[in-house]
Amino acid sequence: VRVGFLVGDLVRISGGSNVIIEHAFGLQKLGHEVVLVPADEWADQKAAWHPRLASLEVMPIHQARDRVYDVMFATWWRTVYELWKFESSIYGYFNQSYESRFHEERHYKLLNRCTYGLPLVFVTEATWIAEMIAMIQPAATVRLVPNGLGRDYFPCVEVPPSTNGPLRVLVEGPWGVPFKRVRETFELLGRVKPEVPLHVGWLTGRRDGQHPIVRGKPVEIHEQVPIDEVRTVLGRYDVMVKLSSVEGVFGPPLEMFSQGGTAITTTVSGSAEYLRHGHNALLVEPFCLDRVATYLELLHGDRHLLRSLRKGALETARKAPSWEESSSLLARQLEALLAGGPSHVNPRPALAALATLGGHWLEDLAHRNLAEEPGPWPHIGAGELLLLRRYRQLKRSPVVRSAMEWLSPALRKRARSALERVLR
Amino acid sequence: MKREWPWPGSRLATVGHAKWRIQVPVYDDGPFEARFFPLEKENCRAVWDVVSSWRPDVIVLFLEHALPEIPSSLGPSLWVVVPTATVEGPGLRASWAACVEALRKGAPVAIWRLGPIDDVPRGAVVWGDLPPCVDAARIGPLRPERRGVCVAPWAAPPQVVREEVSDLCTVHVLGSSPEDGEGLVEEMREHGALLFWSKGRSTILERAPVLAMAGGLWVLTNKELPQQWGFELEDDYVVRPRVAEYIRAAHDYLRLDATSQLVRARAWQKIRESFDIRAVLDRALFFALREGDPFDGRGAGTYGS
Repeated sequence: VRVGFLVGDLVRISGGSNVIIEHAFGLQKLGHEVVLVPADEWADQKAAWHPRLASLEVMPIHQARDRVYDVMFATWWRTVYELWKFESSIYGYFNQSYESRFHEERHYKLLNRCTYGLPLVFVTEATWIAEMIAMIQPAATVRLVPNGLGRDYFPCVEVPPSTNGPLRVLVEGPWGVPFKRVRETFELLGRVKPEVPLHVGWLTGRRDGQHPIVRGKPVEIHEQVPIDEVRTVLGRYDVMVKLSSVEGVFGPPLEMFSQGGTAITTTVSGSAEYLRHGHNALLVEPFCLDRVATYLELLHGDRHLLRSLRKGALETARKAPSWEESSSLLARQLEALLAGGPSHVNPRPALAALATLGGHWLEDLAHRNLAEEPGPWPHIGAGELLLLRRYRQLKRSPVVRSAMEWLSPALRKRARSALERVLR
Repeated sequence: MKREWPWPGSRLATVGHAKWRIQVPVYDDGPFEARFFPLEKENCRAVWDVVSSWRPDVIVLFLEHALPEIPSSLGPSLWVVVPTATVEGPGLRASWAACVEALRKGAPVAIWRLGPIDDVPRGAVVWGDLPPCVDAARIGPLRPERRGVCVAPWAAPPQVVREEVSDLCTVHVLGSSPEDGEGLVEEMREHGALLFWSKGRSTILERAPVLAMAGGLWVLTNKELPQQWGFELEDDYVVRPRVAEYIRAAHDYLRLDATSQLVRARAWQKIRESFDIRAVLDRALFFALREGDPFDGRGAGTYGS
């Protein structure tokens, strides 16, 4: 089977990209022809965070569209608007979250919702996404392919490590992404009673120069850790705290489980896939986040409970499918779909129309005089619009432009991080 | 004594006015048996006798009025008191505190706030805020084919909105009272959208948007729900504080409802993820009943607050 995956970003560490890379690798290993197609300009950048990338074919859109595919998948929602460029028997949407929630801008939210407007072949890892698509797009073909756990990178330990000494707490997630709630998590850890000794670490792909301090002590930072080294970090902690408000199916708690740790998480979308309160983890509702501190106090004081959760967590990790199993399931699903012939009429013209409409709309928005027209952002007042307009003018000014050209990409990144810190 | 909730044969009684029935668990085939005992001012003594004879391990009490004397035979492991909007009145605070003190003599007491409560009785322990949850299992599946619009008479949008919307569809005025949560959900489920205009009054009047989301409706309101509840603006429900924008959003729903179907589906799922009282209680009790006395050595307001 000739399979293409349109992807948003392969360079930065991301759980979503990891899933696509694992499936691409798994399908290739099974003898299928696979190509990854970054939707953004691909400048042959090295993405060292995932060793599997080296053995996969990565090709820019303008080259990849010369081929004919059996299945072409959109993944990140914006890549749905690129699907029409490809000739394929099946147009698929590998949907890992309701990504409208990643954006505050209403126009992106609406464009995201349009990506569910055609009865494509939807493949998803999460029961809640499969259920949601079936509710809103009954004519679509929906296939559930649960994520695997990388046995190469996250082999299960024999037994959970011993749990003496201070409670070792690992926070996971990037800084500056509000729905990951990393900043709030550190604040909540600061509310744990002082007599409860804690060692706090932070595993992150992006920290924006931050050095969090919890109860007067600096947090141990594990930044940009290649995936094949992550388990050594996980193994040093008893419990992962991950309080996101938006997830598809998060992988890090399961990876933590494989190393004999437990997790405290929110009842976020996707948590029901494998987290069981009191069996392998402790779950907290968004309106009870304060309970995180008391959960940690409980785990410190009740080592029997901690051991029991870690044991349950390890059992869960052992039962999780491997990526080989998961990709085999995907391959079988695709073969069956192809054998049965396309279940939908060719949606390519409709995809092209959708992309054209979306593109024109975004262009119109960009050219709109924001200060004079009400605009599509009902919560932004005239003053904020004016500031936004001035900021854009400043960014376009020759002085700023030439300064940006003069700065190296690394320096630009640092300057931007510094500016963001000041603004926050 | 260490007990892990739920233990075999464990029982949970919820006691309160019938208006709270929609947001309490009722079942006998779950991990624990759960019953609701409707309580009126007039039948207090009789109800408490029935509760007592059922011998619950946990009692969740929606406290609205001063309690009568509790039968001495009643000895639950844990009382969870949910002070309702009525007890916020200054005149009732004293009796509320006295009730909690009286209950504390026999058992640990936790407070689960349903609304803003300033005074926490001494010795009681605060679990935190309890938003309007629902027993999701008793509310049916999403009905995407229902597209009509309804309004609640106690939170109806301004006349100009109703006139504008009426040009495009019939606007159904809900007949159920705000207190009749079950009737309200049943009636709302015949429609696709609730247009709500909050006047910022009591909890019972303000719970309709959450009940509507539980019933699978698209909710348009003029005020944000409390941020700590975790509903996502635009993705779970829509807020338009100004009348002109409110009308435009209602028109969008009626004319371009394909995108609002996603909002309906996500809100319906969100309720099941985080606002299903069965799971919420299960998690809270698992935690509280790890120890025989879950509040041992802890002062007021320090437990989960």
